[in-house]
Amino acid sequence: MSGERGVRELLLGTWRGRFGIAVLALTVFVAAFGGLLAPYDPYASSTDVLEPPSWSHILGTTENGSDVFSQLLVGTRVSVVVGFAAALISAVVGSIVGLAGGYFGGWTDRILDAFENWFLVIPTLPLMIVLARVLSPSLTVLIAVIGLTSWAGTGRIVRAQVLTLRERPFVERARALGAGDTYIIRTHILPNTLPLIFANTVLIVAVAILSEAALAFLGLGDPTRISWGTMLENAFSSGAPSAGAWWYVVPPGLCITILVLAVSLLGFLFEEYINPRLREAT
Amino acid sequence: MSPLLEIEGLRVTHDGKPIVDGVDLTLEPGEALALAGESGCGKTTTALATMRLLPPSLEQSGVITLRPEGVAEPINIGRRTETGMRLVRWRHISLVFQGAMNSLDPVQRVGRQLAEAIRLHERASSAELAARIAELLETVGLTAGVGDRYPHELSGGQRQRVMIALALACRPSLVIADEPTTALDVVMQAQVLQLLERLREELGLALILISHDLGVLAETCDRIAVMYAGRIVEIGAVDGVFAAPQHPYTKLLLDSLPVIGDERGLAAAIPGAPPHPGEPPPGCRFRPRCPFSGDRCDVDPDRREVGPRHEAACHYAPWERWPEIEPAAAGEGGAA
Amino acid sequence: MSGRWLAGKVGAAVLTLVFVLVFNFFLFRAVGDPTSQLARLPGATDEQIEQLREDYGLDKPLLGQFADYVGDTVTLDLGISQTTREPVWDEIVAALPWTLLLVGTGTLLATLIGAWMGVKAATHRGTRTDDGLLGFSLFTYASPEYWIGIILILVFAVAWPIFPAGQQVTPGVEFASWFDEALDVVDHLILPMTAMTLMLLGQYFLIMRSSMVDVLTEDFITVKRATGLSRERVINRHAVPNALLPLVTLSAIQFGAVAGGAITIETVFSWPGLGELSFNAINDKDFPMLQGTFLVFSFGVIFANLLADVLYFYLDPRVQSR
Repeated sequence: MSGERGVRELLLGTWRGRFGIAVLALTVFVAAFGGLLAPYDPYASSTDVLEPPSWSHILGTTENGSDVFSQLLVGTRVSVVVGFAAALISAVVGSIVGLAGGYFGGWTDRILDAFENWFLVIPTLPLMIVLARVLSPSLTVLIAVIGLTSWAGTGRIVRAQVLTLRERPFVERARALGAGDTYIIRTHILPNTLPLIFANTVLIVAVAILSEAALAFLGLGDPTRISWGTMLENAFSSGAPSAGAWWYVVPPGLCITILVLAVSLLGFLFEEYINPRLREAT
Repeated sequence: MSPLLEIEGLRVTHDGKPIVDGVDLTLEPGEALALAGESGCGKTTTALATMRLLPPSLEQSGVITLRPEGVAEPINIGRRTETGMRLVRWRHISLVFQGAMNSLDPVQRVGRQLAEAIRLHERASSAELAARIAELLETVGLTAGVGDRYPHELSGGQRQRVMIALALACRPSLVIADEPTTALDVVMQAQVLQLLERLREELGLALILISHDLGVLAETCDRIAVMYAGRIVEIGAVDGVFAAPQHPYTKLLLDSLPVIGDERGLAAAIPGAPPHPGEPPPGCRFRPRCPFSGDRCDVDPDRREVGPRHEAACHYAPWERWPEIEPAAAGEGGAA
Repeated sequence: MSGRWLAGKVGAAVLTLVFVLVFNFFLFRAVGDPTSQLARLPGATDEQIEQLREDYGLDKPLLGQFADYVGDTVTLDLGISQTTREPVWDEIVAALPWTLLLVGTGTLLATLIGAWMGVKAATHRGTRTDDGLLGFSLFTYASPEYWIGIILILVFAVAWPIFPAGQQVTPGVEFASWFDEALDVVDHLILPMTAMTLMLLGQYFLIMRSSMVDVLTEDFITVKRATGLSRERVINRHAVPNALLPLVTLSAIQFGAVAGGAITIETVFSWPGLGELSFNAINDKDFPMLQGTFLVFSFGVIFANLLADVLYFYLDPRVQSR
């Protein structure tokens, strides 16, 4: 099969793939070892308040005199953990709902579809805000809230795929031979849906990273941990923009942008790989 | 009498690779020429090149000359500026496409689209325009009311009639119809073909009819050109070619036509797939699929006269008698 | 036929709205009953708490409570803000025009510019123009809109102060005429509107580009060119009107993003709209206000979706006969 080579070619053969993989690898590395790399304790305050970049603080200091660069390194972890964990939850929920609706049809499908529709239409950020505020903010709550509000798109796509698979000859054959639902789903439906779920989940990672940052920026982040979003919140609420402290404001946002861009590009690549029609359209 | 259309050495390339590789063709005024061949052999590309409508990624070369009645100087299609070409298009050559659904702008009413084409080439008052549109629609067997409809409100056959009305809007001397009946059911196909034939006789149009369906072509056309991998491999009068094909490809194409009452039922398709015109096999292009090939086929044959007004690109032409081929051999590989 | 289509759409919207009401009711009920905070008052006796519960109708069965809630909501009684002690609805009514102004101008600009960019990119596919526009839109798509807002403040209000950094009018100024006041508002509007536009632009551009690329491969484009129309006329008269249709429906999906953007962007620019109300409600744990703004945002998005459907219905003749 050319599958494995195709994926390699996809990831390393285009600048988009190389950029995505490089950024992702670097980010994951920093997320894992950022604390060890940080030149300062990111939580330690000092009297050097809002200092511009210098040799001792290459990205300057915060309103508390903490080192911006160290915060940036340590903050990576929350973005990565929330991004991936929330996307995983979203993938699992979306797949189950999509599979169940598409495969069983009938009233199951109608009810799940209405549910899905609701989640698709309701504005996500306000919904997340309400949920996050009602439960008090922590890392787990963030992951759960983001994961449980962003699965509807996946559900929709999986359902459509399952609907077409269900009518395929090999599924009908299996059913005629007396195969049970679990068996058919496990051996025929799921393997043919997984690539789609995967590509979509990569895109959800990007959405989850942005959502975490937005919630943190609105003061709904985990108060005990630094993330790029909380950095932006602190910078904004301490008046760093009007003080002209660009070194405090630019880096966290840029990190979010580059990571989201990298993940999105990878997601688009996977989507194109699965759906060749898209390849021609872009 | 000088020909209406003369195509000499037409080549169309994409990234240096040919799609159409040296097509020569002439067409007399009022003549109907069939262009046959499998999909991907360059039929549509040839048609679009005649109107210089190829996308910018394709490059065309060769000389195309058009001599419409009442125009003193012959029109050299290759030399015209884009603006100059716009005056030629539709005024002298028009086009009927296969996708009846997609050939008309879906968000504009039919009448408005007809009016747009007419206004591009003629000055006409609103009243004249309305009369012309009604007349055009009636010519193709539709009521004038169709002009107020959107394309999706019409049936496939009606849309194709509208398309033909559009093609006639500026009274061109040549209509190129690219698979005009493909998307239609058999009854509609017959009606549209009859319409084309009738209009050709009444209006003295020349017609290039492109199809992979030899049956359709035989009914409507005077001459037939068979294309294979970017070239015309055989050209001649329809009767002559159908009675005694002189290129193995044409022979196999005709053999693959289902014959009513024949015991074989569905005939064998030609085994193998045509090569991409950009990467032809060495020697004769048809050799890998040809059951009659011999030593001389190492050399790419030129098209030459093999009978009265009958040309073919095969070293062994004219064929006195076609050797028998085993049905099994012909059918093999067909599934591969 | 078309009436049934429309009725179906309206029905779906109403159903979604009912879902929102149910969700809103149970979520805020689940957090604990609204009296729990009041009950924490020192020295509150059990009788007083019971009295409060009765006042709030919490002694009734759940269904009764829900009926009360729906009744209140329909009569626009959304409760009292716990911070300002003003009716939530009054505050929302005061804030709504500002949000509509910001969201409306931002969406309009993003649609116009995004569509224009999409057409440019699709007609110059594979060239530097296309690559540049793609890169730019991917960047704005990936960056948080509030961060873009802060950068705008940093550049255009601090480093090169040509625009005010926040609020809707210059405080403490007596305007000579309504026109001067309007000018002042526009001056304040420009930066947040730009942030809103940049947030939406990427998506609109990508939608328009791919829809335009699709349309340009259609046969009728070749036919129109064959009739002698110039490339520009074919694009402007036939390709663009067709390519705009998906933009209308697909941009409806963006309304949710608009609501989210309103919250963060208004926060950054202290723009006195619904977003800022939500932000304050988050910080003050003002649940009635949060509930109210969420309701209005949801209603707005559902309504906007419906509007997009209706608009599409009138724009695309094909839908009407379906």
